[in-house]
Amino acid sequence: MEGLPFSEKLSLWNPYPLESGICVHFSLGDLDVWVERYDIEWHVHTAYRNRPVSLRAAEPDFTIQAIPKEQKPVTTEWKHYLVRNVPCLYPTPAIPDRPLVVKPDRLLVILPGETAQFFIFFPLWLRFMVGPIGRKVSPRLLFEIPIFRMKSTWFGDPVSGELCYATETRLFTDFNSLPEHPLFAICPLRIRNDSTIELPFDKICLHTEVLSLYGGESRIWTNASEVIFKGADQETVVEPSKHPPSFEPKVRLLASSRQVSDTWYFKRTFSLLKIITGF
Amino acid sequence: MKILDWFKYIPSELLQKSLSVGITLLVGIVALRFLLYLSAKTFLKPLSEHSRLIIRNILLYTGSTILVITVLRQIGLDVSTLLGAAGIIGVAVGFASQTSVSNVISGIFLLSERPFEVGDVIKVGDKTGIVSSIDLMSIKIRTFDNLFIRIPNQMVLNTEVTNITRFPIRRMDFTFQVAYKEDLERVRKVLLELVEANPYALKEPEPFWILQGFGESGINVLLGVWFQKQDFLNLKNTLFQEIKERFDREHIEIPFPHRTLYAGSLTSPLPIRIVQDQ
Repeated sequence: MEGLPFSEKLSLWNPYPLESGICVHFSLGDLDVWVERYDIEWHVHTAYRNRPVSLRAAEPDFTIQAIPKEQKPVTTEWKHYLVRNVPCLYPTPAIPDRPLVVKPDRLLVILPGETAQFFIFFPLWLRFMVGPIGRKVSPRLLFEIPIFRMKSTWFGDPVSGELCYATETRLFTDFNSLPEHPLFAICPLRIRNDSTIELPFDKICLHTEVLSLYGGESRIWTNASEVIFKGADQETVVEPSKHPPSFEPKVRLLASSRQVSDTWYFKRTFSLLKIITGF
Repeated sequence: MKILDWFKYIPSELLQKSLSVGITLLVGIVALRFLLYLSAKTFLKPLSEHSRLIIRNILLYTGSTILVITVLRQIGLDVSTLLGAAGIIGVAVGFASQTSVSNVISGIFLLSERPFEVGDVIKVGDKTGIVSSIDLMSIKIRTFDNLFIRIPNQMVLNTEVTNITRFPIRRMDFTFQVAYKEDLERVRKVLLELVEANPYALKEPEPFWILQGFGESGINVLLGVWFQKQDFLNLKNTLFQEIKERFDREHIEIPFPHRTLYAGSLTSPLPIRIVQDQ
């Protein structure tokens, strides 16, 4: 499956060979991107339209079209990148650069002893990579940018919490009802209540930096995560899977995680050591 | 030639000793500076700025003390005798240097208590600035208009110190008045919409809205908005402007202070004649 073009639904993520002097306009989600190439220079301009994050975005999900020079935005905010002559553009989906605080659209209570499977949608980031046609050499990153701008939020107490993005999601529990959207990733989340008390699921902090992205037939997935709740006075265990999701028979790796999960756990341990020693 | 002639009159033993002390000082100073340079490039690098400064000072003072004792021994002074003599003159010196000693001891308390670190923004009295160093006798801060202020440690320990950047997030309180005629629920909705749309305001902790009381000219309102500590200026400038513009658009009045005059409760209002310029 590696190297084959994506299906129509995910065709946004196919490579685009770009002739010198041609300007292409990408319209996706809340984001407009104009890209043009002049020999070894790539010129990029981005703008947002202030659309809220929504799975129910206006159809189509994205448009890509070459535009005449007269329709190019007239602004000084074009960024110019100098790269050796690499004529192909590789738009790539990416995980957000911060954890996400995900609030489901309804409050769900998981009773003691129960396990629930959810599918959580979150908006992707866009990475523009450039490289030779055919991926003979690994493409190089020009820039990455969120497709939808999410609000910053704080998770935890004001003294020692962490900065996250806030997002809301419809709580899907049935695989067959999952929408197909090229600008959103699906995180399969399994929550197990191993305690003796009810677990109200009103929001969760998803550490997306340890998740990878996989492309299926018409959906983009992350690896699955399992949350084990052992009670209010015990630490909740969050275990991201190291394998691709199993909900589609064939998936391909689109983007590796920003952090290795073992390193992430180690860092948390090391943070505690830091607090004890004061260094 | 004349200079060389001079040396003939100096006893060779003295000359030898001076040369030896000079070499020891030179080598000692160079070695100490090299040690400080090397430590800064190696094991101090991964540490915080605050920790680097403390360890660097410990190395410097310890190295300097060893160098001074070595030089004194080379000169021929018995260090133990000196220490004994110090006990006698210590009382006199103690009285003279009690402020300095107090500063040093205050510095040790500051280091152990750690109310702030190098790089923190603190307010001591009416002075606000970034801590650039915490030394034996004083702390140094750099103000935002680039002034250098030295504050003795004793003063820091005896004064209320506010560490503005200790925690990663803060709350900014906007206090203002709205006219009595305004619909408070509408004002609240408008403000919360503005906070939701502002990129520097955090979604959680949730914005804090409170009606503080009935003022002389309007109703006192407090809006508390949480933000990351580095976004202080951005939030203040953008949200103030957005509130003003939105209030103008929505015709929500922030009242000027005003007074209503009565001639008396049972009398007619005071007559007013408006005079226009011709």
